[in-house]
Amino acid sequence: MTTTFDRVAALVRDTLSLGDDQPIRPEQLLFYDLGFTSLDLLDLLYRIEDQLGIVVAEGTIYRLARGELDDAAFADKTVLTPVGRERLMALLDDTPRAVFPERIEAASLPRYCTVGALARLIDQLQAAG
Amino acid sequence: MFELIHTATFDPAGHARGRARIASDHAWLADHFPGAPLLPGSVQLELCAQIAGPLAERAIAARDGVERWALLGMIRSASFAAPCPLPADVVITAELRRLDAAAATVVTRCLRGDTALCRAELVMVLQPASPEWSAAIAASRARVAAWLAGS
Repeated sequence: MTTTFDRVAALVRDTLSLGDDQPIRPEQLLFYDLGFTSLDLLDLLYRIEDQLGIVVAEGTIYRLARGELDDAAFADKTVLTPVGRERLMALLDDTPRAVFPERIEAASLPRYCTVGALARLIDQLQAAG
Repeated sequence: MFELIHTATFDPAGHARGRARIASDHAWLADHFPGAPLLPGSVQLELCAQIAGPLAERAIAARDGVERWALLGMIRSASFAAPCPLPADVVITAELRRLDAAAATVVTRCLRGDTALCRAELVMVLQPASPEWSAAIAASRARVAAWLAGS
């Protein structure tokens, strides 16, 4: 049975023009391990939209990490608060904690996302309808 | 290259339309092709980007109240349906598909009369308007103002 991760991994390979034999692992970070650029991420999100029918809107990771917190409690203007940082690390719990800097720009959250986390996020969006 | 478009309109809600006139005696057409000049696909994409850029800048200004400078960042797809013999009057249409803070994706088309020439999905990167780009930005603004005045 093909899982969401398998499908996302295939789309990551397509985005980076990697061969089918190139292994993609759930713990790989899109930006740090796979060398994604912001345009690659946008391209991948379009492939997800086209192939899986799931729209991952800008700010999705921000909203999921923030949850029911007020904006001001989650981020001080453009930088995550300590509480916000903890919540982001809880959401992206398969990303090594050492990857998260003390100062996290709110616009940079996809940088800390693994392939596995992206697949889980898609499952969440799919379940939410 | 920017002189080919002579009129354009932009709706910040996400639509734009421009018109270009392409003569058959441009130096860059000498080999494309001798005796039978055809509008190169790359030039069609350039025309599309010239309309998509100001559309993206207007859309992000309307949504976020920020000034950005649009540059072609990625051609997600491009297909060419028919050759375009020259000289020709070409209509370029652009429709915003997605608008993020740092990039806008625009579906563009070139048409000659009722004939579709190309369809392309372009990603325009939206950069802060930094001082080193001020001359280029001023020239771009003046060019777009002239297109609008001609519409």
